[in-house]
Amino acid sequence: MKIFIAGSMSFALEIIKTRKDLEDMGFEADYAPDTHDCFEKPHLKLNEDMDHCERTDIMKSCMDIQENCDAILLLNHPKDGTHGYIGSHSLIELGLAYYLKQKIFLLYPPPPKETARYWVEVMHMKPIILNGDISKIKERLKV
Amino acid sequence: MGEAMEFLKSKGFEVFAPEPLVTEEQYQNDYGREKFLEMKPSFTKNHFRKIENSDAVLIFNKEKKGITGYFGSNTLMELSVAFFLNKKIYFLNPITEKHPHYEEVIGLDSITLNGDLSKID
Repeated sequence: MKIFIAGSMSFALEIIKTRKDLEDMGFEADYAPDTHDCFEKPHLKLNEDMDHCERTDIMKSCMDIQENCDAILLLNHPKDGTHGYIGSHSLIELGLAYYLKQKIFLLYPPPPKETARYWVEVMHMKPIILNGDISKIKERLKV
Repeated sequence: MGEAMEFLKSKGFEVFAPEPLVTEEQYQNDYGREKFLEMKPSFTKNHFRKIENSDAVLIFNKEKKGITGYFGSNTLMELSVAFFLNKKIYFLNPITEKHPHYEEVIGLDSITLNGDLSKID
């Protein structure tokens, strides 16, 4: 089983580490092709650089990788003071996962519906919430 | 949106629209939140099917909540499917930097109609 790891590029290091954790559990895993660059050159803010995004056709490249996975794991670490933060790009990846009928895992619950406009959009896809423990994936996904 | 549908039909296009053709707020007012949550997955899946069967997607992004060219998270996810399926993407109105999803959509290969549906070819 192959898992696509998604999340804000602010967490590029966590994404890279999580791939290793998933591989240690026996899964295949992959992530956005510019993750290493975002980690190694954070000062470039590549994820906010439109020229970079257009030059590398990053959205299409991500989708091509995601398409070949069986599940998505969204690393929705707290960001900007919001627990379970889910950004626009992650919503795109979740929407595609739902369309592709991939199993959806969230590392943490999304922010409450009172504060997150996207709560219904996320929860109606029936994500499996890991409450911070990625080892729980093994209970729901065969290696 | 209903008027836009009729206009496009009059121009000879086959048109699919979201069902039900009311806002989520209106649906919940009419049928209750529980019914809405029960039906939401089938609304989404049906809409995905309509995108699959279309050649192009029109994002009907009118001003809302003080944001020009507003569209919400649900539309963003539909947009991702349209992009993935290489559909032509039209925005009825321009997206400004105030828009919550500005950075994600500005780089998409899309056509902005500036309110003029007749520009769809």
